[in-house]
Amino acid sequence: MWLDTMNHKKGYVLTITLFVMVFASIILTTMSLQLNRTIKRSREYSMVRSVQNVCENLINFSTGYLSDRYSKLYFNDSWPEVEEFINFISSKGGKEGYYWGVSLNSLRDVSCYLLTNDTGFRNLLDTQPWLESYGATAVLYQIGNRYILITSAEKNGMTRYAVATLAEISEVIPVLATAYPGKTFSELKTTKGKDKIGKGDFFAGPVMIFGNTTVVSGDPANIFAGDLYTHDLIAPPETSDYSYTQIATSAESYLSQEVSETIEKISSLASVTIDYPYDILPTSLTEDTLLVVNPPSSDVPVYVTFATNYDAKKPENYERKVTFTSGGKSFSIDLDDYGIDYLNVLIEGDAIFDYNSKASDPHKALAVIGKYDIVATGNIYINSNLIYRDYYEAFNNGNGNSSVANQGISSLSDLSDVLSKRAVNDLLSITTLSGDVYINYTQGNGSSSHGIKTITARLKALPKDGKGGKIKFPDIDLVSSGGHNSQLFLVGGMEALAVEGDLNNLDNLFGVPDQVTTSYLKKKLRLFGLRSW
Amino acid sequence: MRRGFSLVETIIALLVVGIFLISSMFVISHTKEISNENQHAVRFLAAKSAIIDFFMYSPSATTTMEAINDLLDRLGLSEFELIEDVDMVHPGNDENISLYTAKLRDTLTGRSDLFYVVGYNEP
Repeated sequence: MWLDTMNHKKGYVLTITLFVMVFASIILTTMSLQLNRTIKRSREYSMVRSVQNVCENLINFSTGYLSDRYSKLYFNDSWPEVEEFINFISSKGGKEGYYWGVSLNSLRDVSCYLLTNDTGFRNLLDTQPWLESYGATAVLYQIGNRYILITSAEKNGMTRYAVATLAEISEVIPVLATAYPGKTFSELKTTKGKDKIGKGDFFAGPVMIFGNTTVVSGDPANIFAGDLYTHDLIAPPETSDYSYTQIATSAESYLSQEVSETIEKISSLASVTIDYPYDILPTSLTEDTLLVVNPPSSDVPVYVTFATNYDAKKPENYERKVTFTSGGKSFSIDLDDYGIDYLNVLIEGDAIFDYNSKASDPHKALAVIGKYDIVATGNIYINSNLIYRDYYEAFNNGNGNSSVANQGISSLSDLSDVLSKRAVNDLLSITTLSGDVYINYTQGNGSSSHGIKTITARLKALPKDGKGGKIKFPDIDLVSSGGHNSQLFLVGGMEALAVEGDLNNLDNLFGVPDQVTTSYLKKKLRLFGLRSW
Repeated sequence: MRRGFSLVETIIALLVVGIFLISSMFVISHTKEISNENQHAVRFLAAKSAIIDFFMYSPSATTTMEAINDLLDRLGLSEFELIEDVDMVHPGNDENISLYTAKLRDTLTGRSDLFYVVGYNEP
């Protein structure tokens, strides 16, 4: 009926055709519009991704720049775009954006370091082909002991951002690294019914023995609390299934890396030389300067002295200072006078760390205040105790204001007390290249009534050209164990081809890693995460 | 009363439909072409992003053309290839920063692009 009616209507075919065409046109137009939209979005995304890529490149570039150059960072700048940045990230990604906004909201009120205002950085950045036609900003914030790096890039009115969290690398150095430790090890135990400790050893940091390690009594797990790396562990059969890391590395190959790094470091620094008898002291020193100390002749040693008569109750009275004496003439370098955080020193010859250059006293303690990296090309002799400020009271009984270190670790509570300390402001690295390190207990007046020795330093005896590389204890057989336990307390570590001297003569050997979380030669930053919008 | 369509009507209708179909075919074909190109562009971006991520997060990664092309193959992006080995320099002789320059080509469209990746080498 309907068909019949249709067939009788004049010109209806044109109407149908028109309807079909309109319908098809709508479909085609919709399809084209959708395709255009998709193309536009994908082009936009491509553009956004390019800008984001520039932001991410800038994050890596900035981190690399900061990481390999020591620079004192002053967070005095303000970043005008911070408001815009926080609003931008808050508006992206719904709830996630909201949380980003909340977490970075505190940046509104914090000063920053505008890295792109740094001339050196800017000059380097200007040579980069990937930044052509982009406007870019890199800004660094410090939140606690972490850094937040924000970069922005802008092209044709499109601005994008990237954020990264940076932190200084924790440098875990071994508290003992040698092929021959000069002793067997035993677990530290208290004497019967008392808190007082007997003979034994304890290491809170990693120990590397490039040979066999022998434990004669106790459980290795209670001796090597900071992991043990060794060729083989010989332990009493009744001990626990202590798990250690078996290595095949030799001490020579391990230390050869240290030798290369030390030589590389020395050669990369600008030298300022003091030739005895000197006329004038350097007018300026930086963290990138190497202070070379030349004694009057090769057979005359250089004495190195830190703060004497230190009173831990009045730390403000003491300067961050080191004194060098050779041939009867002294000069001091006060880090604050030069506005530096640490001092690099190369002593061309033997170096003696002592209370003074006239009469050695094995009891005396030098308070190490500041950060020093001291390398000697000859032998190194350590006569006095060397103690960071934060550890000073633990070893100095303070009676009579006497600067002696005659208070050893005699109980577990003493040990616990010392282990809880954190010396983050002082650091001492003592390295000999091609010499040996001598640690003396009874040297000098020879009247040592006890055998307590405390050294807060990273001691390295590095062999070079077949010479040196040992840490020697020449008078270890004479150490007294009467009254107090004889002991060696290390904060930092000892690295050497071998330890010479029977350290079994000591009641206790303690090794604690220092708490400075970064190399003070250069800032070493780790990139913990990167997010771009 | 006339029955059925007139010849003129039929011819006009067929003509109009024919023109419409031809132009539609042309539009559809063009749309398909654009759609394919867009698909390539998206895959090109994916290939580029893969190389960027590879160098950004593997600073000691290989820079040889064969290795990167093999990587693209394994990612199912075999129509893309590097034209030459990736060039790597340390800007300002700073070993902590690596600047990679890569030239990527789409073998189907002949399109190629030069782009840069900066990697951070932790000391």
